[in-house]
Amino acid sequence: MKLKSLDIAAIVVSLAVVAAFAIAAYGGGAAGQVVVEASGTRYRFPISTDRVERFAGPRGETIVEIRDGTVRVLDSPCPDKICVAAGAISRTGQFIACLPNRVSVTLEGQNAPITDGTAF
Amino acid sequence: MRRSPMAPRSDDRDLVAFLGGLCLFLSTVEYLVPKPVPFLRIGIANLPLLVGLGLLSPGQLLLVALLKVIGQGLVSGTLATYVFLFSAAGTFASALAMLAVRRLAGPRMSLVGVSVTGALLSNLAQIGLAIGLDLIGQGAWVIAPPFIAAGTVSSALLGWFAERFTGSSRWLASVRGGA
Repeated sequence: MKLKSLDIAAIVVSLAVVAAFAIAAYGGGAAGQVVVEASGTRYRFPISTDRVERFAGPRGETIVEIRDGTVRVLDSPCPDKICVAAGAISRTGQFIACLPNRVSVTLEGQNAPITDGTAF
Repeated sequence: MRRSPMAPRSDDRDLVAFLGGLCLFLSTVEYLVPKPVPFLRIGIANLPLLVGLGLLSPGQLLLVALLKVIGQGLVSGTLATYVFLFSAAGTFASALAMLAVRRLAGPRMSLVGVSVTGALLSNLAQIGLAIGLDLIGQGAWVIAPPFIAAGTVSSALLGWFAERFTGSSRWLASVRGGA
């Protein structure tokens, strides 16, 4: 079968949406900020300063470590420990989430907030 | 195939039930296929919707969509969880988009374009819901590009298959002939 003109248009539109989201989500350049969301609150830390922070969630404390420009979840009170197994992240756009404890760790670029979540 | 229960005398109600049942079966197949990451899915349970586009009224197609959502929820055990919301939002956004685009584009678009449009709207609805409910925070934005990209590829392939199928299926020809 041959693709018709509007088939190609649909594919192009779909890929354009992918590109738009990619630019919105990953366009921040080198990772500069660690953004942690826990219990509905958003915290920001520079990735350049080593520290260990504890975040309270519905299941307990999720412990996040920033060291040598990387971020990892040291421990979290969840059954599968997917967030711990995710290891260390260091590039803009990467993220670790502990869904059971509602804690997410996202890396953003140097230029503060990349998206505001109000689009759509 | 002429002796199948779906042979010429079948009425639309049988067809809705049959396509709904097919959704349930294909959901099982989909669920069996291992996924390295959650968003890499094939979406074969949408095949009955694509085929149904040319056979059913909009209301009947939405009924098949409802059966699909319930079937998927039963198979994956998510019927009573918030995941079901995503499934329902995605499926209905997709079904409505496919109905609209089929009506607007007519013969200028094959099932490939219809399928890609349906997948795009389904994924946008689910991402919109994730952002709206703020379930995974920024994660919804981060996961969006691979999610939509994977959907574009898989839906194009599925649309291609559906186009081939509707063009060559004797069963379909007999249903059309009987309707």
